[in-house]
Amino acid sequence: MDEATAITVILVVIFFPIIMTPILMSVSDRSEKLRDILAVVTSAITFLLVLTLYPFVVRGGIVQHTFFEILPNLEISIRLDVLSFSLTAIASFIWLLSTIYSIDYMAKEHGGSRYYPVLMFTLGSCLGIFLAGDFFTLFVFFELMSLISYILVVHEETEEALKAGYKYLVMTIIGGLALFFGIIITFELGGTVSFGVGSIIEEGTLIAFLAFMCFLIGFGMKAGMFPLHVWLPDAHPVAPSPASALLSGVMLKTGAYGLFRVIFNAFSIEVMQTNNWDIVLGVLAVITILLGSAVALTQNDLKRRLAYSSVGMMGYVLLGLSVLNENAIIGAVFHIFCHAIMKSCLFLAAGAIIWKTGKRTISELGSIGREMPFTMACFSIAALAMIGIPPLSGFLSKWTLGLGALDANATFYVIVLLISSLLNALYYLPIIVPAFFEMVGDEEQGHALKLSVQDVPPKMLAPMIILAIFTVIFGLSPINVPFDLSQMTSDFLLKGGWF
Amino acid sequence: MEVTFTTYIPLYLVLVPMLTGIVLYFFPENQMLVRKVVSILASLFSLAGVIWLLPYVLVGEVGCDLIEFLQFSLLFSIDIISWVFAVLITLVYFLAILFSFSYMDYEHNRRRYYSFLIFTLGAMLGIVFAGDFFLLFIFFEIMTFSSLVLVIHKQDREALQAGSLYLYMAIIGGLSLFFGLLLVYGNIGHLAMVPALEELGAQRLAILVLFMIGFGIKAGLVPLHIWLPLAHPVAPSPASALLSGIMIKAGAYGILRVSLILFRPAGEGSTADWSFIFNSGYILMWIGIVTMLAGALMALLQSNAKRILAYSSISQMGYIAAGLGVAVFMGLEGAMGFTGSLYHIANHAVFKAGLFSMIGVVYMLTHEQDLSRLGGMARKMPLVTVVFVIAALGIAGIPGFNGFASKTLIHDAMLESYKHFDIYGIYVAERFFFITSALTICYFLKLFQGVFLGPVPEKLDRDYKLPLSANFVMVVFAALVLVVGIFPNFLLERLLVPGAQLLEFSDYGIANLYGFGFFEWYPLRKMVLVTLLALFIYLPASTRGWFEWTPPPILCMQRLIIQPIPQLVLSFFLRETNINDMALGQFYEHADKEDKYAEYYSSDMEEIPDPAHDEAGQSAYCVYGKGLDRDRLLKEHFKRFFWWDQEQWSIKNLNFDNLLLVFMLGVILFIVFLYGN
Repeated sequence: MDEATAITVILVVIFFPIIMTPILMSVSDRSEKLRDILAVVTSAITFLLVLTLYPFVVRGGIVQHTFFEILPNLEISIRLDVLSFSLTAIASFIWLLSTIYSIDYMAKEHGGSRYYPVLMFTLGSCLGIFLAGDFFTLFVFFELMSLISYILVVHEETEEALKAGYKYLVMTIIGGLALFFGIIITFELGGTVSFGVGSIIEEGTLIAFLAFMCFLIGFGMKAGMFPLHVWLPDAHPVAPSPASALLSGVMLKTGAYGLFRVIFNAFSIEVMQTNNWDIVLGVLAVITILLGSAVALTQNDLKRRLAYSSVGMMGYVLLGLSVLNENAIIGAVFHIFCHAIMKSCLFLAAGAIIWKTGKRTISELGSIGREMPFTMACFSIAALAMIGIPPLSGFLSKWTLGLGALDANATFYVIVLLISSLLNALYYLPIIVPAFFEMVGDEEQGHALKLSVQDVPPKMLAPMIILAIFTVIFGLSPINVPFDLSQMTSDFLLKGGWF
Repeated sequence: MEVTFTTYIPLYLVLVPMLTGIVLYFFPENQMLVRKVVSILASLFSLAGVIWLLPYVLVGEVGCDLIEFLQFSLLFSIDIISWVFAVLITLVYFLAILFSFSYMDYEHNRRRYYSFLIFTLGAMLGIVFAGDFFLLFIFFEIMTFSSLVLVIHKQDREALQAGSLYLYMAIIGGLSLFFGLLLVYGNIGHLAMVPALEELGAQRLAILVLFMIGFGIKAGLVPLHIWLPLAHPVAPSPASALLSGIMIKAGAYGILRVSLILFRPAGEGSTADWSFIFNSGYILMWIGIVTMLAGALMALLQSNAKRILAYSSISQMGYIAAGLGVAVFMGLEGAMGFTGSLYHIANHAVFKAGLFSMIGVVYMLTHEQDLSRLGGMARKMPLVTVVFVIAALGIAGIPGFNGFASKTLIHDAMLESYKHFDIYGIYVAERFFFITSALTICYFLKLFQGVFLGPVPEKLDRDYKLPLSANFVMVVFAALVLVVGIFPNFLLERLLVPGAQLLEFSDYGIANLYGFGFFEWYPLRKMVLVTLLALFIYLPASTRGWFEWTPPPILCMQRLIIQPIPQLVLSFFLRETNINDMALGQFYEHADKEDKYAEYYSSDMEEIPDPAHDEAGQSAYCVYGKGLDRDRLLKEHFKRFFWWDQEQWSIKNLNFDNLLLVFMLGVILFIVFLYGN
């Protein structure tokens, strides 16, 4: 594949789902079945097209292409390198599984004719973020995705959802404004905002720090960083479960991706470290990890607990970004992969439980594992991976992050990781253990009582099982594509991240 | 470690049982015969494979280097020490699975039980076959988490309680191992099992402590043993036999590998700090001594047969740890301590698994395991009585039975080290060893009297028919106890001494072990003294009912330490974070309302303070109220985490242990012995 083809593929990947949006809208009036199939086909084609880029990226190919300039040096451009490919691949993959899952899940819900077009539009804009070639293009897609996903958040149209959606909207606008301001400062200082020129700002002046803080607010808001995470635990649980899986599994990562670009393309490791900006990030990361994990412990609503857990887990990525050495970056990128897989699996499983039984609170979930063994098995695998039990994938990301922290002589960070793992165990195990082992009713009858197995239909089960299997094989299997990609990303970023 | 003979057998030995376990799970529930045949074949396969490896292991290391991955290569390697563990594991698993055939017919959910039983066999073999610490850790975690299913099998309240404590302790252990491995890797850049004390640098103490916590939890060393007396008895008896006989040894194996290999100086003339090695070994020996004494004392106070055995396991692990400690601080002269504890590991696996099966048979037929409701089984089950006596004599260390050999070796190693270093502490430790041996006899007398002697309770007065497989298993265990006991030198010279040679102990110490005189007057005289002391303690104590004494529950370790401290720390931590989080949320919500006051502000300066202050006060009050709610919620959460019910606590029904009691009795015995000698 040469560069011209790659550009074409990238354009198709971004705009095909967006073009499909009106088509889906018009189709959904006529046939719901056709609409479902079209939505799955759209996301499948997008995913396959992304996969075709893999050989190009692995060979070290980089695309940086400008379409036109709005102002001098302020351009609309696309970029493909190993970092954007990693994020694009995992995002489109999770999106495909979520769309398949939606078919049965949304059949019970209202507003399908609104849901699918929005889902596809969000896919296009989300991939646009990952494939943007400069901060301005990224900003455009970022705002598009944030605003459109509001419709996913308020889908249920309950009062609670509307309230959460309002919060989300306000926070998004705050974040967007901060981001916009950051981009303007960067443009003013460096004369460009393109990713293709190496570090744009090379001196850590006060105004540069202001730009950094603006970026941190804008992207950190999206990534659920303390103290800007307040919208997240409200907005993620109220959305329909496949959408929560995407919000938590994929869209949070746009914030982390933005921070990668800020650190490596707007600034550089040297700027970060000589001005001690990494410490700002580190402190916030530690608070995020501990707060997310600890507050998750006290939630009694299953999806809220998962949402707070996401806050904690994104803290891991931020931690990797604050340590900024080889292992830490590998760990951060690999944790993006892992968390996307694990958390979407957890949200899909939680959705299956809610869909089947209507139970949302954790105290009701005793012996649910005997009614829905496959769902709960997937849930357990993903949750154990979250705790970091070897040989599941979460262990590997924790191990690499820990090594990175030790390389930087930051034993404190390792202890934070361990405390957070312990807290993870404390909030996941009381879901899993009773689900399989608690007796229903009388102890004597409990053994005799045969609960009929009523698991969810295969279209909902298959995505969960695929994700659970990936959690296992991306742990310590010898062929570990995400880990290789993370290593390549780390090499690439440490070499400067632009050529 | 250098692999001299490459074979993929170790890989198959690990994978076949694990895959069999997974496949068996998806077999229909009613096909029990197929399930039994397949599981026994899988365990026979492992046993045969391990035995097949023996000739190769005797001349060098066997193993295979699988794949380059991460910075590690997944490396299996078996030396003679791993082989001893492997053969024990496969043998006891074979017998336990055979015993399950009859025992599990009375239980529910057999599909899950058999799958996980076979699966843990693979994981256990993985632990001992692992060629580096990374692989060892992975299999260790797999084994820990899959054996939870065996612990929790009964699924009643008691089992869930025990299981949750087991689980959280296991996670703490796993995390500290994880941290330890990270530190080792950060310092020396690999995790191979090679001596590397010099390279560990200033963090060596932290690393050692982390490893000791990680493996010590599994091995049941005091004060990390709290999960063990709860978890081992609630499992079905064959699983208890495996938990106590085999899985507990995974911890001992880890301690052995860490303290005798990783924390050794690399090569001759190194700059290693021998005083560090001495201190760590000395402390390990004392941990062992405290463990053995505490375990024995607590076993004496129990009334549940299986719980006596569980505490006895803790006590015996204390012997093993003490032997290892002596081997560590004796440095190059530690051959005797090492062989002693390795020998005791083997012996303990045999007699403890045997004892659990025998008590299991009694439980299977009578559904009683409380000593007060049992009795007179000697008349009802003569065979069980005979094999029980043999196994109990083995664990008590009576000459002619297997425990005698290993205990004599450990004891001699302690005496030798006392001669070598002339430290009074070692002498005191030896005294404690002596007392514990007497107490061991006491609690077995108590157990024997409670189960087999006395009148038969009316409810149990019927004829019992023992299943053939159970008989076979018990007889094999008893035969092993006898054979090893009568020919103690055979195993020692053929397997254990070559193991000691691997660890580069001095030739002088090893030469002493050939033709070791077990049946000479000195060790025999010691045993006679121990027996006399035991009778001296037991006879008055049992007639006056001292063993039924119930210590006040305020002394419970659970009440003093285990529940309050995590609860306090977590509560504080959770409260702070929660209140912060809520305050943050309130802030955002009120930011919206502040708009209105901004309007007031522009129109009328006078009016704003009141509503603004009201608003602030209200939100503060709201946060406070929610904080109280959270506290209430937290309490409920704690109930859910640990399944603990404070009202039900007492030594008898939950049978906690009790450090304070142990220390008090320890001090009294200490004084008695110092001045009585």
